[in-house]
Amino acid sequence: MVDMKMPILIVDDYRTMLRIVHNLLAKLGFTDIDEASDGSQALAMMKGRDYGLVISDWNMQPMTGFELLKSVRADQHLKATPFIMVTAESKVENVVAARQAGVNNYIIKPFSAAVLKAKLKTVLGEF
Amino acid sequence: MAPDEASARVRKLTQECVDIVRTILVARREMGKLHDPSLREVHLPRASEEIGAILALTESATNDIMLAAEDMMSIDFKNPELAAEIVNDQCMKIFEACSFQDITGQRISSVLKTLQLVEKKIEELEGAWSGASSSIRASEEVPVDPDAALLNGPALDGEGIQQDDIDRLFA
Repeated sequence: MVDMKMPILIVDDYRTMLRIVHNLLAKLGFTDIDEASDGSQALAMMKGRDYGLVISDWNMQPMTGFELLKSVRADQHLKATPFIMVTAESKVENVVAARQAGVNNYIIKPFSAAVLKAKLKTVLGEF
Repeated sequence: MAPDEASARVRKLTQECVDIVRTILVARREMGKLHDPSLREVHLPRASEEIGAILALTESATNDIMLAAEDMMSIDFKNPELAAEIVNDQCMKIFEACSFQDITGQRISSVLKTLQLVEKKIEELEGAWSGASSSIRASEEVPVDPDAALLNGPALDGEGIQQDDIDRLFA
């Protein structure tokens, strides 16, 4: 079973999106949710805390979600962290690149609570 | 008017005409360097489509939010547990609908880039016409970052792939 108290990091440069994902996760029962506004802030936070899941946007500055993903997968300590990309980037080449870089799942914006829950179950298991 | 004086005036007028034609030819040549078909064929139509998509998305989100509000207004509060559940579900629908702000923000950024491109072209044309040809150069090539090619923003209808297709890739 999934530990609903595990720390989750959500990364997006839009405050609205952070609030939406935060509230959806809270509604699903997750209680420990941190937020970052771009990849570099997220990476710094990940080096200070063990997260059970990262949910990241792609298109952010200065560090994109894709760069964050590659940095996480290249870091010996962080590389096993489950990583879901939640993005408006829906070109095949984006999905393929993210998959090759080691993303665990990929959600297209806009998305519903049901889609988020389904992907969380796919990545984390039943809860 | 003496024949010599008339002849001199004709020569002067002829020279001025030659100068004008030369200036026009130089300006035309310089403006030709600025010709960028992608502006009219790609960027401006894309910006127009992005604005159309923004209008459609904001209309859809507004409709979803109003529907959720209407559902909450019709709740029968005689059953508090059911009422709480409906309020919770409708609030989630409102949150989902509010994600339009992120998408429209990205689309507006894309339109803004096109406007900046138009502004740059107008400045370049002004430079060409004012004879500042030495400062004119065709749009500079920017070093290519392979990851930057993956930053396309939200897709328009008919572009990109759907969530179901992605799910199959990850199955």
